Amino acid sequence: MLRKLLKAIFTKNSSHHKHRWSSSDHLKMYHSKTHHSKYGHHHYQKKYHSGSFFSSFLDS
Amino acid sequence: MKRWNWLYAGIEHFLERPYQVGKIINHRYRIKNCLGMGSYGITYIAWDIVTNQYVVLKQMRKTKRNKGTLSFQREAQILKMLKHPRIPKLYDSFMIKDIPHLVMELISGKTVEDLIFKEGKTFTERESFELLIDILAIVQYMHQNGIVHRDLRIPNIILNEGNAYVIDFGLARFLTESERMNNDDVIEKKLRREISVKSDFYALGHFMLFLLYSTYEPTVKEERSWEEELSLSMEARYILRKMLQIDTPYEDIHELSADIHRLLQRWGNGGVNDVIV
Ligand SMILES: Nc1ncnc2c1ncn2[C@@H]1O[C@H](COP(=O)(O)OP(=O)(O)OP(=O)(O)O)[C@@H](O)[C@H]1O
Ligand SMILES: [Mg+2]
Repeated sequence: MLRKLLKAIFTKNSSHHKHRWSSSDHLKMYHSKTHHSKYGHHHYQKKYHSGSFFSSFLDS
Repeated sequence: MKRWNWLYAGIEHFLERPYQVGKIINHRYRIKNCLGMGSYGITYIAWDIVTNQYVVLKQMRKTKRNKGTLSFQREAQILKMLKHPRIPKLYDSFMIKDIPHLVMELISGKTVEDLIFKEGKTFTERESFELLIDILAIVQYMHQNGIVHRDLRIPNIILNEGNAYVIDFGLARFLTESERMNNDDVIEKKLRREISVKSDFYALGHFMLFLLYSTYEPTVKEERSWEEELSLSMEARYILRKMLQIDTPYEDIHELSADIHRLLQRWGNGGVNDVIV
């Protein structure tokens, strides 16, 4: 079991590591204190960090 | 938190264990590669050995079994109902060990997110609004059929040979449904997730700003609002403020498309007549 877990951690397909926006990513943005009418280049030019499902748990 | 992301990703991978490349699902779909792991599902490209074509296979995450099953059923029901050349067709749906799976049409092309952030594609004001008109024709079809998408963002719009396609109906709802909103939810979440056509216009307002920012070079690190940073025409600002519900929101798509057509006429627009006003 442990070996399988370690193997999964170290050999995971790199595509899962690759950033993808996810519907859940936006949840993070909801915590932003800035009103959306004030968003500027920080918001529209930077990509949000992808969440593992742990972070989506924490956020939702 | 960030420091441990690799570990979380590893544990997540272990718990979910996506299908291996080459595995045949439901005696029919050979996994080619994994497109991504989203909030509810794991998405793959697979080869359909019956019809000899690539398809998109979406497998619900095991860890999201309760909420996820309903959401998968709804996505299937909505995709089945919508028959539009710019919306993926639902081909098949089945369960494997209580895990719902959906098979749908593979839309070729690139997401607007990848075009802007990976390929450095830029959109002028005119190009942005022309693209919006193209997307609104699909959105009009959805709204007419009583569906609101609620997740119209740059990764969910695919461009192929100049045509826009809408994907990911995981958050779509019937306009007749109601959903309890948490009073503590911040305004942004309420505006995005409200079951109303306005939430699609709101999301598309932000979508437009991603396009319009593709040509913006910041001169200072400090962030000002998009209205101060971008040099937009007065009409464009007027439309965006209404889409983003800073000013009185658009109540239906005709009102919005009429304003965009007026703006496009400034450039002597020819041939943009997808949305019937
Ligand atoms: N029909 C399709 N044709 C082509 N690509 C698709 C299709 N459906 C999904 N994809 C690709 O797979 C990715 C993940 O799919 P989708 O967004 O439907 O899953 P999801 O579970 O909702 O994930 P997320 O939470 O990240 O949105 C998308 O970003 C898109 O690039
Ligand atoms: Mg998605």
